[in-house]
Amino acid sequence: MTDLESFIPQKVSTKPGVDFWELRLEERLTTIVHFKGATPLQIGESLDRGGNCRAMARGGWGFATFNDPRNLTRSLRQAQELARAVGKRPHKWRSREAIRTEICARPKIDPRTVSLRKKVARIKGIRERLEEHRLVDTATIGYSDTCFIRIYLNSEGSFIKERGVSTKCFISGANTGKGGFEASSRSAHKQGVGYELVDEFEQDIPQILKDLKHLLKAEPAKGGTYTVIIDPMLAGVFAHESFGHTSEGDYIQRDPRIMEIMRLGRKIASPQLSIYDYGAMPHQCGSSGYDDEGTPSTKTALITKGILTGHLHSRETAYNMGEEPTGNARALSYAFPPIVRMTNTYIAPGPNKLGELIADVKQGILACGSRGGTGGEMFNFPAVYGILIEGGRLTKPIKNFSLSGNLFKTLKNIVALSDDFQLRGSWLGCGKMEQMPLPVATGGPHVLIKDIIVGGR
Amino acid sequence: MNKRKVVEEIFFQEGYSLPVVFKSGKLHSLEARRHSGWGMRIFKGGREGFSSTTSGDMDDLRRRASANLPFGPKADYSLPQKDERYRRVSNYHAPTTRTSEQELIDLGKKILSKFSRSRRKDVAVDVDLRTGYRKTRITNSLGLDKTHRKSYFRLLIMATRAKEGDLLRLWGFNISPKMDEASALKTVDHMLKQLSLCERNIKPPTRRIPVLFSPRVLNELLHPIAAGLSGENWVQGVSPLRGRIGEQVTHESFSLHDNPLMLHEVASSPFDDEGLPTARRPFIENGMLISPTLTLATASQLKLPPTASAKRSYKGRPSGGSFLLEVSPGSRSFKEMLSEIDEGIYVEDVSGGGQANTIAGEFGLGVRVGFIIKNGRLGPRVKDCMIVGNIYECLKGDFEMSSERENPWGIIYGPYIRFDSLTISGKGR
Repeated sequence: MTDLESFIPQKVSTKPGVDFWELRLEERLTTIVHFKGATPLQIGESLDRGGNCRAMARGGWGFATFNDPRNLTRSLRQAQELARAVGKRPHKWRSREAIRTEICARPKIDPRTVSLRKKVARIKGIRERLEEHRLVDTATIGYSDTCFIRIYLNSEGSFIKERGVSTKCFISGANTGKGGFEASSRSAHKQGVGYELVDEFEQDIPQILKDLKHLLKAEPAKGGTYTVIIDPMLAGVFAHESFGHTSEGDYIQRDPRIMEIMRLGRKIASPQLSIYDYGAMPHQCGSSGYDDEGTPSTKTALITKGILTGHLHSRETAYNMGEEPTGNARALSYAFPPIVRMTNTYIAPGPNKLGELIADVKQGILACGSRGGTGGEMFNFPAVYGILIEGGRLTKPIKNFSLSGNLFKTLKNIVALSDDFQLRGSWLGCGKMEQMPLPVATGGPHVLIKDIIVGGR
Repeated sequence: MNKRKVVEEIFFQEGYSLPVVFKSGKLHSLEARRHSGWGMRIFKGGREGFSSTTSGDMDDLRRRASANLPFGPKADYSLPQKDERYRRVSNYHAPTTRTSEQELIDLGKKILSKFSRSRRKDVAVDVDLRTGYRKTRITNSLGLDKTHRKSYFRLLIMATRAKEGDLLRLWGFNISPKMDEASALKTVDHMLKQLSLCERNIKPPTRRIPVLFSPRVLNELLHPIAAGLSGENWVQGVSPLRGRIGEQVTHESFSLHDNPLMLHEVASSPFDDEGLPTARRPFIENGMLISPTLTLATASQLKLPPTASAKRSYKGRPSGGSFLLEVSPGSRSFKEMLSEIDEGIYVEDVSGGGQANTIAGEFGLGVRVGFIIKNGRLGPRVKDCMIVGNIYECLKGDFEMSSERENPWGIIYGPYIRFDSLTISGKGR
């Protein structure tokens, strides 16, 4: 990989009126092995190199990007000029002590030591084995590893160099018999984990067959309001899409009324519920040592036993709201400025067994698997399938439904949580504004919620 | 393609944009973003190798693409050559690419002053305005060398109104090849009108009811059809439309074309992302399936004529897609259609498009902004409800499209569309 440090000038001149500047240089070498059915969609190695400069002057920001690192000095000058053209207010920023560190991921199996031929053979074999099953007519598989170097430095004297590896896998199996189409998928995505992720990922594949068995027997769901138990995948989507995005400081700070609705100390959810964002969690795909403003990653308790206890912040939103930065200023790549984003967001497990939750439901739905989701005040999460609960027992499988509701009401309608727990990074990641897909992990236990809108026929 | 001959194709993209961002009504940042990248395909021995780079080192790129050749897809088709005929597409407006930061700041201030003059003190407004250009150049060793430049002006407005238990977010969007102040200000007028309609909320009960969708929702609504038309999905055998060319797949009033030659649209292009000349092409005409969206590879695999529908960024191989979809209009106006609905729902914005079992045609849309229709007039906002259905079934049933069409996102030009009976899930069962 390129010696990016050699492009950093010995001395950076700060223009008058500029309060802060930062530089970022990045190089990523990505290997992709992606089959759609038996057809190779993309296989091979690609290189992405570039950087950006960001400056702040009297509360205004300037930002400039480049692909050729030789343009670094010019871009820094431009970012400072742009910031000076904006800034008219007093300085707004949480300054911090300089950090000088080098971080190096040490995966068990460095993906660079495994040949492309070996990777292709393994991934192709996994796909073919899934397709051999009588329930699966066609399967799609993706594998990607990215080895990267990222250098961050700023006018406060920080210098952070990170050599990392990010590996992800995705597989989907589809049944196209009888003129219908039913599909289920699994994915894994980890940071600091190398080619060994494939072993872990393979363990999950039989779950696709379990999902397909249910889907092939399932009837379309009837719409209405139900008591629902959501599984750990859907619990993660709820924690991330609906509550997590509403906890982001850049969203809250824009209006005093939202600040009041999201005031710390407020009783916002049922007392069983705790939600965390944990950017320093080892090996999860949303983790890093430092965020893209050089703030150390941390664990933020967003809700603790039903009380609102935390928000997610960049250094700017932390200053504006009189709170501490939480290490959540993240950028998709060097091509974008950092904005407030989640890392690994989850609902903490509770004391109950899943069987106890099911036994408590007279009439409801166990909703399983996620097909995505959108959040905000009104959330919408399509499930892969569900199983009706009648008289405390699982009965008939159902399909083609989404879960929806009002965030604030639903937080208070959480009745119980199970003691099992899963956290998972997805192939696609999170989207906010134009920055997608950012690696994030989501998860939780099974969660029993009353009065959920089930969108069905 | 001659299997012994080595053919090389380079897909180059370059762009510059100047985003000006206002947050909560105040100027927040100015940006200057430049990017460039190269994607290379090498064809040899009936296979295709691919790699991409942003470094500009062509020798390194060629080495990587060649190393990937043994694992790449089969390639038994020919790339376009230099003597192809192309239509002119005019979506480059030089003055727009030279727009200064100050001009964008001034327009941002005008937009914000319209909100403040309306005395909507309960609304926080973020505005993102940007101008820029994109250049695409495709060359191949058979002699093709095509370049297309397009300019753009893009406006995104987010208005947030917060009340206890009611966080309303409205989006305004414009995109055109030319800086367009009048359209930008018209977008603000539309948002202010919506805000005034959102003063009262009601939660509808679960039932089947007529639903009238705005053209803003067509992208989400037609997402399953776009997936069903994908040539890659046909090759994999996961499209319900596969093998049905010439069959009636929707009611005869429905037609869907791709029009990459539409004037004054950012999405237009004289050639697709493999260098084939583009044209206005039908995918569904009078309800009959005409063709999927094909690249050269999927056309060859399916033994169908190419449709010049290749789309990609320099980072990936081409796949089938569309430039600017056109949905056929109906004969009556939106007002006439609205006036005939005694009781129904008008849907202006949704969440959750493309997230259900889309291949099967399913959609499950949360109503982000929608209004009750009572006796032919728009009433209070409907809140906390969703609409689930199957687009293939919907387009075979009772529906009507308006005579007027709009292109709110720059990618689908289509009408208002009314389905006579869809399930709204809300209160109760």
